[in-house]
Parts: sequence; structure tokens; C-alpha cells
Amino acid sequence: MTWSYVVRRLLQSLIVLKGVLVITFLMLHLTGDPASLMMPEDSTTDEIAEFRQRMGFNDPLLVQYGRFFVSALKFEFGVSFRQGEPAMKLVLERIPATAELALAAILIALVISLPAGVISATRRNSVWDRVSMLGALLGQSMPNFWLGLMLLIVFAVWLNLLPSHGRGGLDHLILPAVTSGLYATARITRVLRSGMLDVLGEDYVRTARSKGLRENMVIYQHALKNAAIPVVTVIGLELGIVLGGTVVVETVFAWPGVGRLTVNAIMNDDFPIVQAAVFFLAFMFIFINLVVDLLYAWLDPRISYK
Amino acid sequence: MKEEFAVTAAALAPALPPEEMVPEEPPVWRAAWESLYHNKVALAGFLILLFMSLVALFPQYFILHSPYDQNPALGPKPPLFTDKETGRLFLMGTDSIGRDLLARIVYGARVSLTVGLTTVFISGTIGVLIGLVSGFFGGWVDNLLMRIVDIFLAFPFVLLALCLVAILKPSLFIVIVAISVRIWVPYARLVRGSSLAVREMEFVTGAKAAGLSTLSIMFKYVLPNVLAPAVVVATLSVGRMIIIEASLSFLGLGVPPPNPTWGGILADGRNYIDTAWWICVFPGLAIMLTVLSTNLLGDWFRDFIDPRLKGVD
Repeated sequence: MTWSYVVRRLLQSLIVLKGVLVITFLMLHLTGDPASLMMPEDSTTDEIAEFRQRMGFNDPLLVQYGRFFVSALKFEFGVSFRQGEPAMKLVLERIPATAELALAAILIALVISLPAGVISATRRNSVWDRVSMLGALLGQSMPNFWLGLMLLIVFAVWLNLLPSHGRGGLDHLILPAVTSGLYATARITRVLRSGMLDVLGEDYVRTARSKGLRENMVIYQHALKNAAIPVVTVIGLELGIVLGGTVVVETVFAWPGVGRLTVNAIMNDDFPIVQAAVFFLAFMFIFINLVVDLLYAWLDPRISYK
Repeated sequence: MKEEFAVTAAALAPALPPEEMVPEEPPVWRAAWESLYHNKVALAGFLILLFMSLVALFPQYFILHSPYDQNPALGPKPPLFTDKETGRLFLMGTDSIGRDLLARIVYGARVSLTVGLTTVFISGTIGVLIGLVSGFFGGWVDNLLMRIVDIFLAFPFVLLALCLVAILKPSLFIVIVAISVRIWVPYARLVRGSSLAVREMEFVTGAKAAGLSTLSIMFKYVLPNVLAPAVVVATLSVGRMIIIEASLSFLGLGVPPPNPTWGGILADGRNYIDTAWWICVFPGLAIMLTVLSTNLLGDWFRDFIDPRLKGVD
């Protein structure tokens, strides 16, 4: 990995971050009048005009953007209209809950998909392969929040085994984590299977076998290691998607994370929170992908010279 | 590239004696049908999708009652319930205010399929054009467009769509726009990659040397050679768009009520999971069946268009 690659990749991330800020800012101005968007529907024109003046919406767009940009550099996105506290503080308070959910989801996805992917590739067309491919196909075909509702009906309502909502001990985490991990499980299984199938046909695997290495050694030491590279990328992407995708799952399970906070803020026209949350999630996505790319270049040095 | 081969074969054809001419290929649709007919799983997907399309186009023939007739006094009733007063049979039961669940699901197919197909078409077209321009011109154009792609990629798409719908006020049109705004990105990346490779090929250099205009080289020579993977991705994404639309409706920011949507019915059912499981189960099954069919058909289509694309996800 060369330093110039690291610097170039960092600069790219900064440019992207700036673009994210521009869009987050412009989003509010899409209707041309952010003030009436934010005020309750029964406000009078005078109230709206007063609010418009107070928020500085009468200034030229560029001036407003400048203000927004400078505060954003300090991680400030204004004060929540409904809760009266700094928007970013409210978002950051909810991060542990969302991070807990996203990490648990990826962990569950890995625990299921790694063995499933390896077994379906090494025992191609066996019952295991068919079952896991069918599972992956079904997993990609159902909305994850629907799976969540079904799990709730079975495990919380009928069997009364697990709690139906809120955050708490491990028992609270199981259903939301399985639900959020659904797509990641299906996708990693498929990517790992096809990666393993490619690698298992390579010369060095044949060489390893012909040297008389035990099959387990061949699969885990030689094949899996090489098939892991695309999987690392997918895990990074999925982690970003899970972080942003918990929006719906958090609503189903009343999980007190960023997603639920944001959805409620959207419903209440509480835009400082919406902007802070959208920016934060995009920031995390860019950061995770930067790390994954650098990791990737370190695993496979050819990449940084491209 | 297939097209490249076709060009070469056509150029050589007049020079060959007639008996060595390549026999005429059967029309593409017939080859497609034969391949589909022999792939039973994909055929099942195709038939289910055909049925769903009929349901969406002519919902009035698939229902017993109007999807809008309420009877709050009746409340949620289980599947196969017969109302003793009116003698009405509710095959899938009723929702929280006594509307026929079957009729609501049948009408919900309209929104799901419309949004699924139009978003893929719109975002696919935008993405392919951006990718084509980016890859074909390269240089600063490419750099600029790819940074824009990265910016959109960074936004969590459900959240972005939710914000846009909330700001622009929910309607069918706005839902389609809000989803398409973020979904063109993968097409652009894909097409850009293949355009970069295709523009270095000999037939493009040849076309340039022959003095063809940039536009006609782009659309007549490069585009046909980079379109296949994008079409495959498009087919495979219809299902995903249907799921995103359902998510928006589930959160109350989809096509507004009283229009029945699958996600909207699920949102209603969520409040009754402890007493009326059927309100949640049936619309979800409808979504899963539709999405599963598009995925099966998409997998087949990928292998049919180009077996080398196997594993493009």
C-alpha cells in the first residue's frame, strides 16, 4: 500500500463528504420555502414570516449554505424544534443502540453465512447447497420488516418467549438483530459461495491437494483466505446498508436508535434532527468504506497501483 | 462481445460462397421462450408475474368486495369469515376497520408493480446514460461524474427517499422520483466500467477513424456493447424496488391512503399482531411471492443474456 494511495483516497472521501453536505442542505430548499415546511400546518402567514426571518431563510442561498457549512464543520446542525436540544447531540445519544443492533446483525449474518457459503461451495448440488441457496433466495425476496413482524407474532405473541419491543438485555436484541441481518446473510452466502467456487478451480488449490494436504487445510487455509477478499467488501457495504436500513426495523421493534429518531423527526418536520442524522449516517458509510478500501489495498497490494 | 462478432461476420459475409454463409439465427424471442420453457423454476416465476400483472391491470375481476367498503363495527375478522347479516364471505378476512383484505391486497398490486417497473426504468436510463458518458469521455468528466456517484452512494437510500417524500408531499409520482434519485448509482458504475473497456476496442477506433460523430459512436457502437449487464441488473432490481416502496408505505410515507398498498396494510396490521395475525401475513406473502418471481426470472435472464455474467449481484 503506497502513501499516495492513502492520501488520494482520503481526499476523495473529503470531497464526497462535502457533496453530502450540499445535498443535505439543498434537500430542505427543494420546495423553495423551508419555513412553511417546518411550521405547523395551522400557523398564520405572519408566524411563518417571523420564523423565516429568525431562521435566516430570507438570506441568499449561498450565504445560508455558508452558515450551514461552517456549523456542520463543528458538527452542529441546529436545535431540535420539538425537543429543544442540539440535533447532533440527540443523534449521538442514539448511536450506541443503532451500533449495537448493526453489529449484532452482521455477527449473526456471518455466523450463518460463512458455514453456509463454504459448505454449499464444497458440496455443490448437495442437500446443504440446495437448502442454503433456497434460503438465500427467500431471504433476498422478503422485506426484512415483514420477517420482523412474523418473528414477533411467533416468538413474542404465540410462544411468549421473547420481548416484543424496546432495548434491554440479550433477549431484546435477538429478534431485531436477526431481522436486520436478513439481507446481509443472504448476500454474503451467495458471494462467498461463488467466490469459493471460483477459487476451488484454481491451480494453487489443485497443487495444494496434489501435495497431499488434508481437505480441511486446502479449504480453510488456501481457498477461504482468497475467497474472503470480495466478502470483506460486501461486509463493509452491508454494514453501511444495515446502519441506514435499521430505519424500518427499529420502527417495528420500537428500538431506540438513530433510525427511529429520524423517522419520528421526519413525521414531525423536525428537520435539524433529520439533517444531522442523514449526515451522520452518510459520514459513517464513507468512513467504513474508506477503512475497507485501505484494508483491501493492504490485503492485495496490486489495488493501490491501479 | 457478441455485437463485435456480429459486425465482423456481416463484414465477411459477401466474400464467402453462399453455402458457407452462417445460417440465419432464429428470432431472439423464440430462443428466449425455449430457454425459459426448459427452466421450470424461472417459468414458474414468469407465470406468477404474469398473473400478478393481470391482477394489477384488471383488479375488478379478482375481488368479491370493494377494497374501500368499511365496516368499523365489524373490526378485524379472520380468514374465511362470513358476515351473517350481509352473507358476505371474506376469503382472507378483514382489516382493522372491516375492509376486505383480499380486495385491498389485489388493488395493492397496482402500486407495487407500477413503482417497481417505473423506478427501474427511470433510474436505469439515467444511470446508463451517466455511466456511458463517464466511461466514454474519461478524464475530468469521468472524475466529476464518479464523485457525484460516490456522494449519492453514501446516502442511506430508504432514509433519503423518506426525506424526499416528506418534503415534497406523498403521491405516486413523488414516491417514484424519491426512489429513483438514489437507485441509478449502480447502473452508472457498471456501465462506466464496461464503457472504459469498450472504447479501447478496435471497432470504436475504426469508427473514429471513419469520421463518425462522437454521439453516433457512443450510441451505435458503445452502448449496445455495454447494455447487457445493466439490463440484467435492472431485471434483478425490480423486486428490490417493490420492497423499498413497501417500506416507505409501511412507515406512512408512501402512496397516501385510502389507496391500498401492501406496505400500508402491513402498517395497519402491525397494531393488531396480538389479535389479528392475518392482516400482517397475507400482504407480506404477496410481496414475497412477487419479489421471488422477479428474482427467479432475473436469474434466468442473466444466464440467457450472457452466461459470463453469472454471479453479478
